[in-house]
Amino acid sequence: MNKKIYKYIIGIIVCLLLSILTEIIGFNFKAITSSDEKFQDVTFSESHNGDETTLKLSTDNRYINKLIIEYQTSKDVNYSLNYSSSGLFNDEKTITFEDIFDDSFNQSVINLDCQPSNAIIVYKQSKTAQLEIKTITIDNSFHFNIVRTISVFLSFILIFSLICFYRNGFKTSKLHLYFAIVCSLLGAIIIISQPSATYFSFDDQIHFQNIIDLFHVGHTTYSIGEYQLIDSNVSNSAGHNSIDSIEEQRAQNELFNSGDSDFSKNVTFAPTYNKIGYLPMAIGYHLARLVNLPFTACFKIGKIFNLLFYVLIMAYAIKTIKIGKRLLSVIALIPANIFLASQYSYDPAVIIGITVFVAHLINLYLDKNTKFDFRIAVIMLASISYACFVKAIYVPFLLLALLIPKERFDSKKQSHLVKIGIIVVAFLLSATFILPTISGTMESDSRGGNTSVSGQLSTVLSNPLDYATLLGNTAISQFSDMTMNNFSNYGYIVNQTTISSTNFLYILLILLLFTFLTDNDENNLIKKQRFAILIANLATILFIWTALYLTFNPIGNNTIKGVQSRYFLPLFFPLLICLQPKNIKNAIKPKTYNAIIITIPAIINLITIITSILAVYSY
Amino acid sequence: METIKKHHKAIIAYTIIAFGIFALIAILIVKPSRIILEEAYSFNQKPKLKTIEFPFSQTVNVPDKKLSFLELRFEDDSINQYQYTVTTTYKSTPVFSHVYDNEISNIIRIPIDYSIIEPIEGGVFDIRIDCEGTCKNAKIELYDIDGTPTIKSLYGYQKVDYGLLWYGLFPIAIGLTLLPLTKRGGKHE
Repeated sequence: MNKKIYKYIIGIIVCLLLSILTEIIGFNFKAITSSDEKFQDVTFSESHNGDETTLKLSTDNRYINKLIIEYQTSKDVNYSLNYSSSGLFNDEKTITFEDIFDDSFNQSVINLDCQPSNAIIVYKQSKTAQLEIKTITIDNSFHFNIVRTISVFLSFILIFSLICFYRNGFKTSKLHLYFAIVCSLLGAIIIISQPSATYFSFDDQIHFQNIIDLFHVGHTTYSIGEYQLIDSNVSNSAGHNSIDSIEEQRAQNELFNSGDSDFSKNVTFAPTYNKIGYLPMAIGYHLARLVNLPFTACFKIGKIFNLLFYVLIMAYAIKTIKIGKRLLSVIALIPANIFLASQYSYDPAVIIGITVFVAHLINLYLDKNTKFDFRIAVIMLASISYACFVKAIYVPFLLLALLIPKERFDSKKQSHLVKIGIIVVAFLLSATFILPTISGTMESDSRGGNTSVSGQLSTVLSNPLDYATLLGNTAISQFSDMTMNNFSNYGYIVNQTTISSTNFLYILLILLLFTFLTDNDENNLIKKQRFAILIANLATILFIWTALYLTFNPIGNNTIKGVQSRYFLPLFFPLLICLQPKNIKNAIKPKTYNAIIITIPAIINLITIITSILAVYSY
Repeated sequence: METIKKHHKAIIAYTIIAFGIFALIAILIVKPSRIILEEAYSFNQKPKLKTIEFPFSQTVNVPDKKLSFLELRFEDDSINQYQYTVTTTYKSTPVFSHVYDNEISNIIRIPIDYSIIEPIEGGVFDIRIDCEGTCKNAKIELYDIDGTPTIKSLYGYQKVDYGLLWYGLFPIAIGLTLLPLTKRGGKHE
């Protein structure tokens, strides 16, 4: 046992040394070996064409690691840097880099790492912006980037872990541990390398504001970082859409950490049940605030708590379920799941709630030795309630508990009483969205335009066939987007080209299909159970489309807007497990099989995170 | 201690039920109210026609943290040909004032600035729309429409929030569902 631990410690130390060497020799190779001056001024000539200004830079084919533009502006100004660069076989290609002169800062840093020629900066001059370009400098000096080093270190740890898993046999009984380690490391890299700001994930500025207010009671003053990132201000926040280097990230962090804002409000402590999905993030964030950590640290710790919560509960589900462990592991490592778990998002709450419930449900369906006892009832009711508190439309899954065989109970009477209780709980959960809809008190989302829940409901009920046709056509036509987007969905993260590259997307899809077809050991769900799970999925899909049609679409709209692919993430596992064929025999050795289903998503996620997040925001 | 260990499941179930009953009683006695901001029509209401002349003034109750803005929408774009002023006041303190002149949109969005007011039981805003010049004879018609509305108006009122009863009913339902599982049943029939 001691030998193993020593080997792991040595492995971690080697990973640390490798990451430091990579940073020093890899990323700073040219800085170390080049004899040119590290800081060089760039002269530029200015020309005007109407309100458009062009700065022609004299780069003289010099190598440029970072281009630093010092400026002053009273308003944000969009600009583009256009240049030519030699690619493979000296093939010249023209590159356009879009950025913003942000009025909160006075420096824009662009990572080029090439020898550009014909470089020009183009922007539209505005009378109100009063933009002045002061200096343009080349920075080829040595930079020890701690964020990049830590991210690379975690990447090496991930690869080292995969090697250790393989050497230890990639046992099926330890799939939950493999998932936990891989997902934690990937999520940690996302959190560390992403700027401490909102507007990267769906509605994260709204979620973040709700988290701030959850434990603030009475007269509360927002810090500068908090005030910048809440829903009403995020579009004008410092660094919004303009952070693309570690230097800019540091400037943003410095601003966000600089103390309290002038904004304060009275908050009454009146949490509604749907805020329960925020608890892990809120606990992490406010605990960090309690010990007076800087805002950016608190911000990241809140995300870490959300990630850890997702990892722990999902690992529990993988460990608990008796069939489809590998299928569940692959689904849990879908890029959208890992990304959302690393953000201010309550979608992971729904995903883990539904998954734990379904895991225990399937065990009860299949395993004659599993009793529906007090402990399992608490876990199942807690998990489905947790998911439905956040989004009640997933309540059809609770009704699947009515099909638990009576042999799982101690007596017929117990079975009947418990199932009556389940019906009542399901009614109460569904009442949270059905009653407000019927009574007309449910609020619509004005982001969808001229919306009205009661008006839309009236339209639907007076034209049921038209609505059914609209629903069917929309659900079918958008089926592939709603499923496939989750394999490449990283919210609003720029540089989506790598993430949505066809190769990666289809590799993951093929892997999921492969696991769906082959991880069918002991899947002895009977037709009645499969059909019931399928109906629960279809009912939830109907609720998702209808809920968004009622709240997010103008009355009588002939399309259904607002539905996002992440709403269907909790349905992946239950839908696939009920449709899984039994006839395909899997002759692949468990070690090889488990290695494939863990390693491929791990590596694909790692590559996309490094190229689309780390390389964009933290170089 | 032995008794607690032996009956801990029942204790948990009864505690949950007791919490739900306590919450129910508290809500029925205290009758907490919420400020509800509702549309001028609802599913069950019959259509109403309301013709408004300038100046148009309406008092609106706004619940705490419920909205970041109020929105008024007008029937058509004829209002946009004129200059009009929208002001909101809270306890005689003006919190919003804007002059609209030849606006493109027929939607007025009035922000609620919670840094200025202190919403204790919600905010009571007076919204006044004055129209200057030749628009004195113009009208805004507000429709309650059972179907496809073209206009909405917003008004608020205070009512007992019986939805809070859910906080009592839900734990009772959970506790009652768990209760049969705390006893050892007989053999399966």
